[in-house]
Amino acid sequence: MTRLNVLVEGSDDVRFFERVLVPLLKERYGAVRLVPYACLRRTAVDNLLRGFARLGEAYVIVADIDTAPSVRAKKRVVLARFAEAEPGAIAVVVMEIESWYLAGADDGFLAGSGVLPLSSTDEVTKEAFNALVPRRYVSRVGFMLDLLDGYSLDRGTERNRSLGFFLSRFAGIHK
Amino acid sequence: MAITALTLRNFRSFREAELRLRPFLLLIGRNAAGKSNLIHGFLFLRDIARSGLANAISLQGGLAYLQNAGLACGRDLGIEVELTLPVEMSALSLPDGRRIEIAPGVCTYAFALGCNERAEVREDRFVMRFTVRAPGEPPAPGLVEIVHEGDRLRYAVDLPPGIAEAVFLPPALREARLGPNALMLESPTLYPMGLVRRALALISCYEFAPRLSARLDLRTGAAELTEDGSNAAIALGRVLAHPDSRQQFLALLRDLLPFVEDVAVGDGPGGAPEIRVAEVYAPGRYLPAEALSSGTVELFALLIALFFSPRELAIFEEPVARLHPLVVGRLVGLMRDASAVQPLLVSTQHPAVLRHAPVEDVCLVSRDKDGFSVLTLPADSTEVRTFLEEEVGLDELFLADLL
Repeated sequence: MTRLNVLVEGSDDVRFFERVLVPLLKERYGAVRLVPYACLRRTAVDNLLRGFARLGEAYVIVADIDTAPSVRAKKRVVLARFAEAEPGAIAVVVMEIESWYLAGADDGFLAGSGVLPLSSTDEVTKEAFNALVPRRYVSRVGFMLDLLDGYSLDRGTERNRSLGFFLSRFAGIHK
Repeated sequence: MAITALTLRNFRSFREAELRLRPFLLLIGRNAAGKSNLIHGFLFLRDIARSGLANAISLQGGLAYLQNAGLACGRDLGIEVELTLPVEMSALSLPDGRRIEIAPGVCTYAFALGCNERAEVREDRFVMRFTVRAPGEPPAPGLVEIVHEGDRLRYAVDLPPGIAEAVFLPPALREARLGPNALMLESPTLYPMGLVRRALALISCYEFAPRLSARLDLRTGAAELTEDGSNAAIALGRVLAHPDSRQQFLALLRDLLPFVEDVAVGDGPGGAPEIRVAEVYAPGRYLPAEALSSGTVELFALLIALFFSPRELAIFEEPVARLHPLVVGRLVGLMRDASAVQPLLVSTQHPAVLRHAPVEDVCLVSRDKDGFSVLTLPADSTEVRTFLEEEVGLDELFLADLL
């Protein structure tokens, strides 16, 4: 089976993929490898993509939507940045990975943390997420890790459309 | 009270330099560029606040070592520190029943020492600025200045009309006297210098000893982590004693070291507390700290310092020298996270740190043609900005001496 290389931006993305998505992706691909690319130069990423092609491995570039007005516009930004990238191998997170953490979190845990569950996390930015971190946490990372305990992909896809699209497109899971 | 800037004059390798702190600031530079001398500026202030001027000078090796060797004797050694006011000072009730609000402003404390056999205080001055909002009136600036001259303290208060000076500085507070060669920073009772003293006393500079794992043999020690990490087992025991902090510590540790199943502190040989780690590969089998690598044990100490030992300013000297580059990336993320609560100043020569830091968080220390240490911000350099736009990494610019 083909190996899937998931190019993610930073540590928060790595944590989410390691805990939630890699086990699912492994059901479809022979192996899954996470590649943090935020600290790599554009040429290094392009070289990696060429390498994956030569090795016959699949890849997906995961990127936050940031200030792009639409998913399509963000894909154009990624394609302009990485000459070797293929349009079908780009996944856009709306808004940022924090919105995926929050989307599938256990409602009971959220309520116990003083966070009102949102019907949609499509608008949740990093700053909005940081404002939700309960004071008892010494680190936002600790809160993020706790959000992943009892994480439900059903809730996640219901509350974040870009997560649903990712699962459908790359894991073959239609919720 | 947050420390926001430090200015040094004729101090060790500095002729004159100002460092403006950010929540997270990386101090980089070659060996002997002056990084440690800059840190000594903070530690000198800290030691004065904790132990007094005479002890602080002694801890630095004497006045001769504090002043720049290249500058002519007779030039004063000067230090100025800038702090922001604490939020809890934001409301005040007036004797007439009115309640005013004080918006946090900026405090500066400056002193200068003459270059003689013993320290002679040539300047000792404190200024506190703020904005006052009285009911029904627009915000207006206010200021309190205290100047120490001889054994006298001279107060100057500038307040919006209608607000009595006595509210801010009751006459009883102004009657304090101070010896001519003492600093206001040494006085535990001088209002409002106590706030500055408390903030500066809470500076810590962590530099964990090499082979830390083999040195964790203290039977007794402070509950708070010491700056060399030698009491890490005792400090970790304190963290693990509380279920909530234990759970958070373990979560953060597993984020950096996924193979860790559990951590405990038990009695080692001779009864000294000992860190023990169980790995997921052999659940329930605890390895002693001596069996762990230095880098692993340093991560324990780093996490305790970052998240379980709050300080007004936490300084780290070379915290990542024994860590894998991927762990460095995660640790820098955690450091930025921790800096939301306590400002961090990190001195390093490790290029891997620069891979994960924005240029705005970097300050370069170097020597000028006369040998004085100077501070520059690569973010202010058009040249550096150009290279970054061309996707040359900060780490690469550092290695190529282009910062």
